[in-house]
Amino acid sequence: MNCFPLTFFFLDKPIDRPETLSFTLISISLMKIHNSRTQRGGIKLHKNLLVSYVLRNARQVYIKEKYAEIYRMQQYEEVMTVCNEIQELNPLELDAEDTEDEDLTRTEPEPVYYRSCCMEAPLPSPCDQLPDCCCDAFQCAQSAQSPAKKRKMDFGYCASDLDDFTTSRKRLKREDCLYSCQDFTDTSNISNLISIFGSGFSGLLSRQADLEQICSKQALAGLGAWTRAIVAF
Amino acid sequence: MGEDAESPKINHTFLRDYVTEADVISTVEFNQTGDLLATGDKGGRVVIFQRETEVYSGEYNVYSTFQSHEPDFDYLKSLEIEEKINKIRWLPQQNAAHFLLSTNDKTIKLWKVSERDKRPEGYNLKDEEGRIKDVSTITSLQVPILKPTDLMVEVRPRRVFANGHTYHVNSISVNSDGETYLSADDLRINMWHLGITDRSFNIVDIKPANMEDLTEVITAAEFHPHHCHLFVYSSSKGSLRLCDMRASALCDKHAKLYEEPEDPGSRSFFSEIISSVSDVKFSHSGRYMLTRDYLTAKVWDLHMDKGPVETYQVHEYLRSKLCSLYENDCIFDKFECVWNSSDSVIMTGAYNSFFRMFDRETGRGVTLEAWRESSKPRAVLRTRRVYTGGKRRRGDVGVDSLDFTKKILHMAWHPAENIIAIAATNNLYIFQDRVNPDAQTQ
Repeated sequence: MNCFPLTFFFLDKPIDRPETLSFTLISISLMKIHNSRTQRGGIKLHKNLLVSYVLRNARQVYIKEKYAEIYRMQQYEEVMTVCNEIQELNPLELDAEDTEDEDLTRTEPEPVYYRSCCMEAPLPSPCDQLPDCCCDAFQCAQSAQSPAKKRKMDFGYCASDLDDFTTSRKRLKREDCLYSCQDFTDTSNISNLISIFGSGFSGLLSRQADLEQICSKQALAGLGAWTRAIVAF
Repeated sequence: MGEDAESPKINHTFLRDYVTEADVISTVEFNQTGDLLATGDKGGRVVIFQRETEVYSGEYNVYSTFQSHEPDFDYLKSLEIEEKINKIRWLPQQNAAHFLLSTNDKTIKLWKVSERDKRPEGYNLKDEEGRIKDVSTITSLQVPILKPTDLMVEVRPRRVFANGHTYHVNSISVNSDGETYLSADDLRINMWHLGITDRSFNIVDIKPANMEDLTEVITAAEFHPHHCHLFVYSSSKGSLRLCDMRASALCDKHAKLYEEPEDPGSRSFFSEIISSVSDVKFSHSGRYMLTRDYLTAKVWDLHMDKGPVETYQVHEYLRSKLCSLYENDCIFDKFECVWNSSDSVIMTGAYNSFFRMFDRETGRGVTLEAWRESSKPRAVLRTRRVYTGGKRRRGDVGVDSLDFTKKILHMAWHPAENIIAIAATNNLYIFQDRVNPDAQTQ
């Protein structure tokens, strides 16, 4: 197996950004699945099943954390917008703004706790407040890191309309970069791997209920292609 | 408990930091009397040790070595089949010969181990060197007589049980009826008759109709020591299923399901991995089961399915290191666990050449080390400690100093005496309790 001696205990040091850990685990897990294809003795079903569990768990955390971040950012932006407008407007028009604010506030669902191995990451699930924004939100997440350009990080999530969904599926199958390539040496094989591994792992999605709270159905359909796991036999 | 160390019997030449992969021991098993000890390695070889019988508390010496499995290739799937010996199980002895089952990922073999200490001499048609005699020189007939000769140990394959498994075989277990045995892979358990190689009965099949719906695999299986109709199998989800073959031919529906509810407060990315059971063993009494998952060893009462009756923390200090252990694959290590002969002590392995014993009566555990520097003959093994906080004692090992390449995965306990065999990578350590050499029933 590939070892990463330089990062032997790296992951167990406190990490400021929780999504970094889940993202790292996602990439490590995919690498393990990829490596298992060339391992002597054939693919080990048990090990790959366990890796797919970590993949699923990390993905769930990553999505939740991303949405939390987006939500926070959006709230901040809205607050800033309102503040700016207030400065310009006549104070008598404030009632209209307040109404808009109320629309944005919704009751938060019960937070779903997901503790990483070394830290707690209690998170709200704001996503049902943004029912059709999963793709936009995700792209916002990418743009948050580099606002100027659109990153090539395509999870196949984009499903804001059917065309995008189809296009993203095709991109997946055409072996484009899944990630920003910093963690992979052979990313074309990774996406190839995912499509070979085929369709669906709904057995693992016993936590489907959680996911549906987070994402719209469209986005979930797009997610499905990416979360597929081991059907190589 | 004080123990003496007997010197390692193989690989005295120490390869400094390099271990030949093929020499790594992958299974250890005593036979029913404890006189024979078999080890299997990644190179497909089996080494059998025999205990000296003339001396009380004799040492184990190499008795026989043979190549059990060779690397193979599945042409249909274009997959290489490893020759690594996953498990060895001895059959109960019925005559002068010994029989054992050995298995790799796909094929199980039955071997006959017999001794020959006599050879016939005085053939009529052959001379002493075996050359055919000229018939015209034969003037009389003689009856060949058996003359003593140097002891020869012959090992011959008697049965090959092939093509029974699509997935990797992880367990074999001989039934108490002495006629059948089971073999388990990730998704199926088959039952074989020792005399029949061309067919087996499938008794458990958890393969879903759609592989996408797969959520758990079989990790270990064992027959009950006394009841020939009962067997247990463990799953990657941490549950045990006791099955009764009298109920139906296909035992997909368990007679009893043993599982412990998950503690939601301890949920992490790796909850599924660390709850996967790596080994299950019935107690000698047949009343209890011992399981091992990544961080704990648990004792289950067959009569209680709501949870284990005892839980032992093997190396809880690793819980905060799971990310790194996942990265370097150590989290997938499959540790075995064993009972002592009186079921009063359980033992399992850990890292840094450490292994742990737990006294069930007191609940206390002790950490010992299988390391040649501390294993001079007659030396008493001293207890070790991993420093996890509080007052640090001399000799304590820090968690970050643990060597995760030195893992004790495989071990065996003598069926009647306090003798243990510990496999540490390519070395075999045999320790005996000098204070209490015989098992005490409690």
